[in-house]
Amino acid sequence: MFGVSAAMAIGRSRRYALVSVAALTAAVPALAQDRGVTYTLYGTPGLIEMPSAMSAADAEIAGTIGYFPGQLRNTFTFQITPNLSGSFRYTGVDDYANDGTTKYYDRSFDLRYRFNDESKWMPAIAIGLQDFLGTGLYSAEYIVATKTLSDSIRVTGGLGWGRLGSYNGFTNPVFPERPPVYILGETGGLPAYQSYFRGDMALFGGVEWAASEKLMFKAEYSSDDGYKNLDGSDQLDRRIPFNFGLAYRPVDNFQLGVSYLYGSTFAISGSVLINPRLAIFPGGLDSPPPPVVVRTGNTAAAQSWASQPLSENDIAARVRESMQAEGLELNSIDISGSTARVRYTNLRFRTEAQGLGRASRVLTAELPPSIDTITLEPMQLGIPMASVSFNRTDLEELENEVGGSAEILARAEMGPAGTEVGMIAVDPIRDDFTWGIAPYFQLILFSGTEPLQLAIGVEASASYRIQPNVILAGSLRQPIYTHIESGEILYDPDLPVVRRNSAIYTEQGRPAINYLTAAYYGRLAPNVYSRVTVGYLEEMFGGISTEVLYQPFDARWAVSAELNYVAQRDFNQRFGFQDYQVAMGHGSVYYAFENDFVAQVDVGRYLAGDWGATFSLNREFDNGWQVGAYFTLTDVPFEQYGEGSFDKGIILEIPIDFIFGQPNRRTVGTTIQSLNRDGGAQLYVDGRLYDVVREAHLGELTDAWGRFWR
Amino acid sequence: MTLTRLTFLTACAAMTALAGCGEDTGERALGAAMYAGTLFQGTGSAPVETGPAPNTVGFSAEAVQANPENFQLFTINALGIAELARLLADNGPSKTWISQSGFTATFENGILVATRGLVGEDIMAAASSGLGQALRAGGGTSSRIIEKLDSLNQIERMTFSCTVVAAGTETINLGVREATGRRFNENCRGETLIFDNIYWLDASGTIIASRQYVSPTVAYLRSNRV
Repeated sequence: MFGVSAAMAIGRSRRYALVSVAALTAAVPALAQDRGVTYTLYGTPGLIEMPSAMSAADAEIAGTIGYFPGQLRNTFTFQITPNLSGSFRYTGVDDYANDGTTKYYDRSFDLRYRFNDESKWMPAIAIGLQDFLGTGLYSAEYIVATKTLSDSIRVTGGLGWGRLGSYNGFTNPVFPERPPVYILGETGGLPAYQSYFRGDMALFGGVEWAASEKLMFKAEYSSDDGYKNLDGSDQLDRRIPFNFGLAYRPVDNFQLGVSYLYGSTFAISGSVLINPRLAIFPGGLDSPPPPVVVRTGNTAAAQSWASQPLSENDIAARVRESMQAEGLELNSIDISGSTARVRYTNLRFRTEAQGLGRASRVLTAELPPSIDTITLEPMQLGIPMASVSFNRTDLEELENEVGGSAEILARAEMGPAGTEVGMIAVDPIRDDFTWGIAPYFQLILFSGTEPLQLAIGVEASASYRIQPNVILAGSLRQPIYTHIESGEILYDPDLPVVRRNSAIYTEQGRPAINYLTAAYYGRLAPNVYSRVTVGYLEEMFGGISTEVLYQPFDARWAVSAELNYVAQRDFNQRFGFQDYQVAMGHGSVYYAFENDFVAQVDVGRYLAGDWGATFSLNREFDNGWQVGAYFTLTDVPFEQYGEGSFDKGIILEIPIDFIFGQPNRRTVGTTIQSLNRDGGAQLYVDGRLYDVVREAHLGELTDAWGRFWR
Repeated sequence: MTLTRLTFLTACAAMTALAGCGEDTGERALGAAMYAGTLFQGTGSAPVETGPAPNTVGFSAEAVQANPENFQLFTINALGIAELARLLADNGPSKTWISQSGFTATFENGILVATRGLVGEDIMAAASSGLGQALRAGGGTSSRIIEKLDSLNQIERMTFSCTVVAAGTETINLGVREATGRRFNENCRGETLIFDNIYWLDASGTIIASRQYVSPTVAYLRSNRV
């Protein structure tokens, strides 16, 4: 099954592409369980407004805009696991206060878990929480079942509470009363446990019919009678409980929806779908590596070995040149007896596994035949991160062999990097001074009452490498266009303003020294890494940041401690500081689970001097994508923190090589915070060690080992 | 004849119009992720770093004439490629060739066992068993395993069962000359895919030309001696 053809068909039957290969296109097979899953006006898999028990394909990310007159919903949904999905939603409701002026913005989170998979007789069954920790605008809970009846027809029926129990409901026999989810004037943003699955409940349901592989018609019976303004007046004219609509998916990554709601209102929606598990260029568009040179082979390189024994310096010079061509920088080398130990920095490839492969290939061509063992010690920021040893004959044997990837991994010896004893430093080829001028843009999504805030400008940046592990770096920014919300800042004597004034920095920093730092990276012991960063660390704070990380090479866990002393910078972002200073920092524990999830807990003191902890959980795909969420609880009381009660948000990081196919170590990322306020505010500092060092540790190496021979 | 060959080589060179760009150091921009908190941040210059410049060294007409055995002609109809490749590594039965547009293909005893640098999925590793015997016996069965890299950097293995049948003697166009060879068709069936490879053998039983499956995007790579 290739291409878009399977996008909308419902049936579970599996078809085979028993066709001539010349007719195939470069697309990815659709998976059985994601067939015909479409998104609602709420941006979740389902009917039109009502949820279904269907799950999107594992890891699918959907950005949906749903609109009907008076209401706009922006939703980000992630299929966290094959059975669990989560959504973040930012809604604008016109005239919610019914005073003719106010637009109301609301943030909400959903979770849905499919606890029963569809089988021949049993439907898929899911349980869900809608808007479970917002201010409760959409607050509802449901249990829903969906059954596929034929290749093109699917039915859904469910039982709802809250908003989904508000039309034609009946009394809940166990918990007849539903306590209010949210009381006006509270800060909101807390789980409303007291209300879940309580109060009246009602039935809802619908049917989907796939007219073609790209087009699906839907009809549903809605149990939602919650379209009310603050004063109880109607947000829309609800004449009948039925909605009718269609979903059209012309290509795999887009879905358009049109529907007619409650006999009175037209609605439209559009979804963009991305799945980190399905790369645009699987395997990438990397240039070919140099072949392994086999010592018994008949090659030009082999002939040159024999001519005369080369000195260590001559070998180093040759290796340096050849590594340069592969995007690797030779740092130091030690040849003794039949062993060569080589430290290098991978500048091109996102995975260290691929860097190891390229380095190995280069060395089979450049090292004298007497060398039998090749030990590679990849470095980043001047830190030697690991030691990986290969028997040279294994490299010669296993290139291009079926199973050769797993076998070379099994035969390699790995551990923490060795000492510097015996290593001869090699002058780097690339310049120690680098600089660049580039446009920059900052996008703040869904914060405060401005859905989209933007700053565009020009950034000049430069860095100077004093030693591989001692780096000066700075950047100067000149904004050209800014659209940043700058509401009035209310000062609280007990809670310093550390983030709510970010708009003032953006307005006054023309030009701004974005950062100007000196950083020193080191390795204190085989598994202990260190960092000291001094200077203007970020837009709003400067000072000193220190960090120590303990991370054994083969451990799934790591711990670190970070201690910072920082002062608030002047709004104009030149060299001056304001009066506010704070000693802050945290201890962190990291754990990488086997199923791609990485958990992190930070405990300590935040920028406003508040004490607390941040909990985050990321799904990290083996190709570099990260999707996750976090929340921070500190001793700042919810009322003092303000709207949202505490800091929470969504983390998204996309590797550049996923998008362009070409090798690249960069990622683009964003964090969507529900609100950016002063409690639980973290210092932004570059080069935090955990993300640097573990790239060359056992877990990450193994995860991406398929790229070794790439 | 010489003129024909030179014309042909010029045409080959002209077809290798793949663009090459400068080298991006690819290094993490130091200190750049300042706004990792709230903001989406991009650096303006889109990192359209590419692989190496087209491989133009060593393809002179003189070089080809002097050592024709060090060159092959590669044709990929799906990509509009017809160009020369030169021997890059000769590790006994395993030979790696690099084409003028810069991709490599490795053959082991004439069987395509790896490609690198092709658009779409490369063959990370492959193996065939039984093919040599079937060719010698005038037909028979073989099996093929192809390993690729999936979207999550995992090696994905596909297995195929094949039947090999003799298909008579044909005149083969080798680009600059013609040769006569015995043709064998190899029909391979896997779980979701069927493909048809072709081999042409000279009188000594050596594969002088073949058309072998690579991937859905590339379909087949045809290679022959010049």
